[in-house]
Amino acid sequence: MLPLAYLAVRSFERGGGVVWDVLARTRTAELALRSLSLAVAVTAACIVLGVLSAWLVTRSDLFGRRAFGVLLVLPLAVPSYVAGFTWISVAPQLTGFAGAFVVLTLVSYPYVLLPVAAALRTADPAVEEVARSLGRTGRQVFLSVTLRQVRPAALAGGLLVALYVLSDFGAVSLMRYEAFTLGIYTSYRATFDRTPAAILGLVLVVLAVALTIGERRARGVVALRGRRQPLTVPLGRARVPALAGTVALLVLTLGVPVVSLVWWLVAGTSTFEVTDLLVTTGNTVAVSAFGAVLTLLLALPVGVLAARHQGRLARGVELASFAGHALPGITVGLALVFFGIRFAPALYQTIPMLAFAYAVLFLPLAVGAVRTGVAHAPPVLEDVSRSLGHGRWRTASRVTVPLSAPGILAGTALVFLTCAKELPATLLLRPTGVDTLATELWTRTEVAAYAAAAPYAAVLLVVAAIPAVVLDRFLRQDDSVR
Amino acid sequence: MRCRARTVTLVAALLASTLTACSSANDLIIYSGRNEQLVGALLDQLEDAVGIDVEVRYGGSGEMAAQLLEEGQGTEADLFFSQDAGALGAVGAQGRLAELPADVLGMVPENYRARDRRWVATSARARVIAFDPRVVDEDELPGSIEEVVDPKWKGKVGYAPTNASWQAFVTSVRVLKGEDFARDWLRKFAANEPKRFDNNISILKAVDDGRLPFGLINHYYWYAMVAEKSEAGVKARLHRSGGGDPLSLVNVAGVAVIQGSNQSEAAQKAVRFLLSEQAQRHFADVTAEYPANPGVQPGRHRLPPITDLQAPDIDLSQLSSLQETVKLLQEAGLS
Amino acid sequence: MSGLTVKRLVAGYGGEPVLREVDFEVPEGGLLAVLGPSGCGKTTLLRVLAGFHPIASGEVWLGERQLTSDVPPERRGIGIVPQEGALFPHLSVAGNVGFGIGRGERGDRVEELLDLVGLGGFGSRMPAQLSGGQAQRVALARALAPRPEVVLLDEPFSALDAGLREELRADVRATLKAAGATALLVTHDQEEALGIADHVVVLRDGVVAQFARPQTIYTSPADLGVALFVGEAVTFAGDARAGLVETPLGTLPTSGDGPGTVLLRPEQLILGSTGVPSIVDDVLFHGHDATVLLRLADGTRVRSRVQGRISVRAGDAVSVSVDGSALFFEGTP
Repeated sequence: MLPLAYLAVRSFERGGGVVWDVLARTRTAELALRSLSLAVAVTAACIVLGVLSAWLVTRSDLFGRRAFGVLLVLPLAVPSYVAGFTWISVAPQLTGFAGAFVVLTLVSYPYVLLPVAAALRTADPAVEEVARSLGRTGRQVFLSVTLRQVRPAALAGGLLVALYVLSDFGAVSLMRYEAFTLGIYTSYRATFDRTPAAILGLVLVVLAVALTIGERRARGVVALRGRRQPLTVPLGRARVPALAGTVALLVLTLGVPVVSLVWWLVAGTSTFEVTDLLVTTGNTVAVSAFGAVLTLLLALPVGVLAARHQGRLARGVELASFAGHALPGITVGLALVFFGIRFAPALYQTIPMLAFAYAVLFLPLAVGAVRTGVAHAPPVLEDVSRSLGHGRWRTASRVTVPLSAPGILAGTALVFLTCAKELPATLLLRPTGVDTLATELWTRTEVAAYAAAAPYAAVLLVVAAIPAVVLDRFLRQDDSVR
Repeated sequence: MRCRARTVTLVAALLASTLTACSSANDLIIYSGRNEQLVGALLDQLEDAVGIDVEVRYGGSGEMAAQLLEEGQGTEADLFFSQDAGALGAVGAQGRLAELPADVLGMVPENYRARDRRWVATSARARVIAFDPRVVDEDELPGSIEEVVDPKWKGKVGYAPTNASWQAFVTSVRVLKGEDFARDWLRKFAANEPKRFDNNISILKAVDDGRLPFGLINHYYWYAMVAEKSEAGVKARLHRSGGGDPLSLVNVAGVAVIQGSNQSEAAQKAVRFLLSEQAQRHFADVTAEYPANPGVQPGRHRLPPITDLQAPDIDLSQLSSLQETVKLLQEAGLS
Repeated sequence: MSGLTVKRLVAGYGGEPVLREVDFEVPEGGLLAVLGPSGCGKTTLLRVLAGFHPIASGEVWLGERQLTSDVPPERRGIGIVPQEGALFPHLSVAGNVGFGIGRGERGDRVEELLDLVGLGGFGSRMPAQLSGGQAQRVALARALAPRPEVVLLDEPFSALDAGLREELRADVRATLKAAGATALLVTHDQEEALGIADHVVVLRDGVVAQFARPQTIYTSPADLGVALFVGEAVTFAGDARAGLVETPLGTLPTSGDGPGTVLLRPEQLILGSTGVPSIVDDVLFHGHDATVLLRLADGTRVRSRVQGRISVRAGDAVSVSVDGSALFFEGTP
């Protein structure tokens, strides 16, 4: 809620008239429309790509589907600004809406792939078998039954994508697509004025809340959980196109950035210091780990509340956590500057404060994972534990947490890699003199020193890729425990 | 559980202490909106000059200005080193900058310091026209902004609309020639179908590759390209219009001492250092900027002296009035 | 171990009471079945006793100790066996059984309990590797492990197939008796309730309709509703006078007086050569016995339960006589 309070203070400090002026500008509506259309397009594309690829790696007999299952998640590790500048160097003519669309889709479809793959692994295959027995063809079953089973997961992932697109600045600015965040940044960078930026931030929050409520309306009923492994569907004649499509997706998502980075590493003449790189990597891991753990601790009560209670309070808390996700990092960062320096000066520009900013920004990622995780720990098991003489806390630590662990760890991994990529809030809130991979990368790309930036980008990819692999592993392990 | 919670807190405290131990109230803390790649080495030398530990925080100038304003009196910053005068003006307008002593201000020409004495330029960059001599003769090039919008240049001019240097240039047109003129000029400029680029570097590359007759950029990009490829390897050439026209706008990077700094003495020493021969030489040689101190001769890049630029006479603090500029750009569909 | 006493217990959700003044007691070491259709309040009763649901009014006593809503589940000394066992999927069988007991005691006690439920040597298995019946046995062992004063069983056999159910039912009873535990079992299956318990509470709409020994419940149900719920029945409308009632099966001895419903159990209808003539409509074979569907001369349909070898088939003509006296209730079914 802190960012919202901050936005309200900054928006109205010069009276309602200014707020109205900014809102009434046709430019504001135009930017909102541009951002929304980008968000809708990217989300739709991510849902298509995410659902298809999730189905291929979980249900089909795609060649090497396990390996693809891991590789297809890895684009999560590519920061949008890295994807952006590698694409610019590969295809300079790709700009504007098309450019932003391509880059954002390619880095964010795993947000859909992950939950949909999990849902496909756990969905009750009996439902599909019944549909087959009632005379539907395989394709009809996919369209009518399977898609419906994964709809809640796909929409939940889609919501994250949409919020991410709204908040993204890196890709849209590199691709020169004038989106809402550009208005916000222009306000800071060109006019040094925080009021219009705050008002525009409030508009983003409204958009985010509308999207979140829309998703909840459309989410529908969660699929039945099956007790058996789902059947593998033979692809038949579609084998080769499916394989080619998957490989093509990987080339676009991972190949382009990796090849560009390698090219820069090899072609670049700039040298870099290994110790500096190691220290920066250490900082990144420490800061991101702290951010991930703190986010998780804050997400636990929210996620448990969301999973166990359907009350108005639970929905409100969850909704508030999503609002932060649609705000650009700079807005959340400044909100914490505002509150931090006034109410917690001892913590200002310390790692805990930065970790807290990450928590505000990425809480929804963890809340979703915790919610799914806790759903794996039915309340009856907690009842049993308490009847056996264990209090609430021991029950939580011995039953609820271990059972929710796969989901919770997956959420932590996701937040970790997102923290590692985060830039604007990191710049504002990091302790003076502490560099992370993202800030070092920014320092170098800002002056177009791509060769010097490449090692940092490469390490950042690796650091973020490790949790991406962990993420995938835990989703599978969860599968085998059941 | 309790024991586990304690471990987490302990780890947190450890992390916090190891990672924050480096900054303290006894250090000189600089908020630098200038890039570490450009000024990092210079600021490392600062420690010897001021005699106490120096900690530098890097970020974007605009974001840092917002941060300084949000921090208000609670800020730990002692010095603000900005990429442009606008950010300095915005922080100064809220009373967050301290007045500089007269002798410090006296080290630079009058144009290159704040009229309210709250900041001083450290280096300057000039707007120039980068052109392709294979396509246009230098004599033909526009000598004023009026000539830029001549229909004969239709589709031949490159610009970087999202770049701060372009926005500062348009602001100077507004400030020097008035709102109505600026609106009219932007309308004509837009009608002339200029070519949009992401930044100055891509404009220069397009000119060098023969894809663009000429473009409006900052001077040092050309010098950087020459330093990398040698002068013979670069096809593009620079044209300085001069004559006080906005086309030759000179903008500055500058520095200011934060109001209420508990290290104001060291901060002033740092400002003096940045205007010293040693630091000014760095700007001339490394970043190919014009030294703000006219006593320091342009170095290896053989830049013309700052006093020869025939820049328009403008209060650079006014370049922070970008809000109106952005509005005009939006009206013209150029933002 | 001590007995469980429930006095005028009221509990519910919001303003709506689900349990309305429920009274019963289970003596120390006794086994009580709470029988009722779904929605009668059995699950709420179980949750109240275990401490997961607050008491609105009334009292629950465990021996000399009153269990108010303030006593949390972990301080009650009441074990639960949920439906389908609800074993902790992340713990082995031994881990599940040892969950509620101190580390020091764990090894021996776990083995002892696994032996008691007939699963000696299963300690290292994971729950996913167990059959439904085995999971239930582990769940029972787990509940008994910390030596609770009372064990609550929630429909413990509902998910099992018939043969297994019978066998497990006997084993559970024996195990509970061997452990000396006071137990309360809720179920909607009258055969299960009557077959396993020392006493039965029939719960209907949150009220105790009858609290008695199983045999009493069956032979002397408190009202027509209980009678129909606890077993199959053949009913006629009738008018009882001076200990006799006229029915399509003849004049039968009964206890009531005035107009009402005459109720016979199918096993009271004997097929033979004497009695009321009828035609066999169908025979439903159950293995150990069979139900014969009959049509009397006046068209009335009745059913008879026949033990041993069945010699009739559809279409045969047989005579039906009644063994013993008929139950008589006021009102109509």
